[in-house]
Amino acid sequence: MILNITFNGHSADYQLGLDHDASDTEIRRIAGEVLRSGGIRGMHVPHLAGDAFRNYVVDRLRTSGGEPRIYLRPKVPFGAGG
Amino acid sequence: MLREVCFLIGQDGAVLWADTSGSVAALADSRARWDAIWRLRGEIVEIAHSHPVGPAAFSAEDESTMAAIDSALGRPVRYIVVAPRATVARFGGETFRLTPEPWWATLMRLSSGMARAPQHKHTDKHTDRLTDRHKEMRR
Repeated sequence: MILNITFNGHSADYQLGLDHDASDTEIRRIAGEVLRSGGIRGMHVPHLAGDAFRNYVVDRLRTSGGEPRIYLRPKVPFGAGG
Repeated sequence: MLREVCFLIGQDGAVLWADTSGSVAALADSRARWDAIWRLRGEIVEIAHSHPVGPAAFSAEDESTMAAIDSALGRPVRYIVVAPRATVARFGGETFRLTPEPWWATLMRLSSGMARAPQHKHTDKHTDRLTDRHKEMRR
């Protein structure tokens, strides 16, 4: 399964060894570890803050071939009521 | 019908993309909006949305969304709220009133169902100074 992470002007894929039921919290934690460890070329952030993905959401989609694909992206709601 | 509207604004005030909600006080999270922001990231100068019944200020939801977008894009974007009586901007950690307003503020009010904003002379020295700074930043 592929996890796509968008952060600091970059967006890249990471091969995840997880099933599709990982929670959003787990996905955020894994993404943080991937970036801290340099698991994605060009997205090495050794001192990434622990809450760097606090305001990110997880989209679970499928490719045209039916493969599950997870996207970690910033939330984008706005509103006077928030 | 009053409703919140979002515009992605490029150079020279070009409206690059827009979407709307069915709510007077919220624009729900949207994968399509994020896809547009990411696809147009090289062109976006400002991200604006309306508060059809006010306030002319950024909400807590706005604040956390702005932080998330900036961290994803790796650069600060200028954010704007268009309210019935004023348009405010946030950039570089400062919030200031935009006078004169960008041309598309009228379009955003119309698409949000707001009445036309009253025209009034602006005399606040502090806001004038910030408005001058905004003009400098746009150059």
